[in-house]
Amino acid sequence: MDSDLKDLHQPVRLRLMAVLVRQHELGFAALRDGLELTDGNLGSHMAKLIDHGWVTSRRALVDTHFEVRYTITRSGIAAFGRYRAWLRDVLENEQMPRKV
Amino acid sequence: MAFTAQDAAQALHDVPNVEERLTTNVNGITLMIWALATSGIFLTYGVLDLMNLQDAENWAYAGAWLPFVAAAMLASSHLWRAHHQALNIGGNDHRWWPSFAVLIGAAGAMLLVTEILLDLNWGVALAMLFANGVLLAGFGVFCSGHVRSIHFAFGAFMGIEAIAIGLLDLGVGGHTLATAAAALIGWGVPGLLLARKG
Repeated sequence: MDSDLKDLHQPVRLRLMAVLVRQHELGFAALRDGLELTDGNLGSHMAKLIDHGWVTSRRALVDTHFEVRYTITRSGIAAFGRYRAWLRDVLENEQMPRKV
Repeated sequence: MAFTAQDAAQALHDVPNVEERLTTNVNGITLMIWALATSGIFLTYGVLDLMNLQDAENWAYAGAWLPFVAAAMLASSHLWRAHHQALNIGGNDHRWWPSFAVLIGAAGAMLLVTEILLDLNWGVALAMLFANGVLLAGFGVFCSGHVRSIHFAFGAFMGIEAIAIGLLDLGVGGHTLATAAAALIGWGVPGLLLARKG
């Protein structure tokens, strides 16, 4: 696995990326409630994804209040694609369980 | 404990459909809003019955449901607009709610006319409760799995309750409380179940 993908190989971050690949953009509350995470948990994992440039965040006016919204970037989609390719390769070659 | 490739595959497989989950949740909350509104309407009708209004004041019956339906529509449309904005999806689903209110009114009027024609003397509240049951069961047609069963079961519950209350001599107070409770349970419990599922 590429060294930069190691941060993606984590249950919460993997699920966050999978959801964002499907939805493209989601608000903080929707991600938190949809994946049953706490505010702190979501914030800390998102910070890591943002550090990698896989996700961007912005404050947007939603109805009558501001909300943090997360959008997956092109490099995020590419990284997720590479991760899935790696995972498929590992599973197909029956090298499980393989520690990262 | 290390996170293996198998764990990763399982995690990806188990990723919930966030949109579906949150939509089910909002559906449930919407039903609970209408549970409060419909039971409020029935309580108001009961109060009007107890007031022994003169013929000239009967307009109160015609307008008693309006504040409740308006408030429920406002809350529902606000909820759905926020939901669409949160998920960043388009669509005009919230415009469905005025149609919903019109549908309730039309179903109630239709049943009221039937009730008058058949000389059942059940009154507006029971006709409306029966219409609510039909409506909830009707929504079930557009659902699937056990969500559909929940809609059918509680729709049938409201219909049967309307008939049972009509057959029993409960007095104005008992009649009012029974219809309000039936509406609260009929809309509220499926709402609670859906909100918890979401």
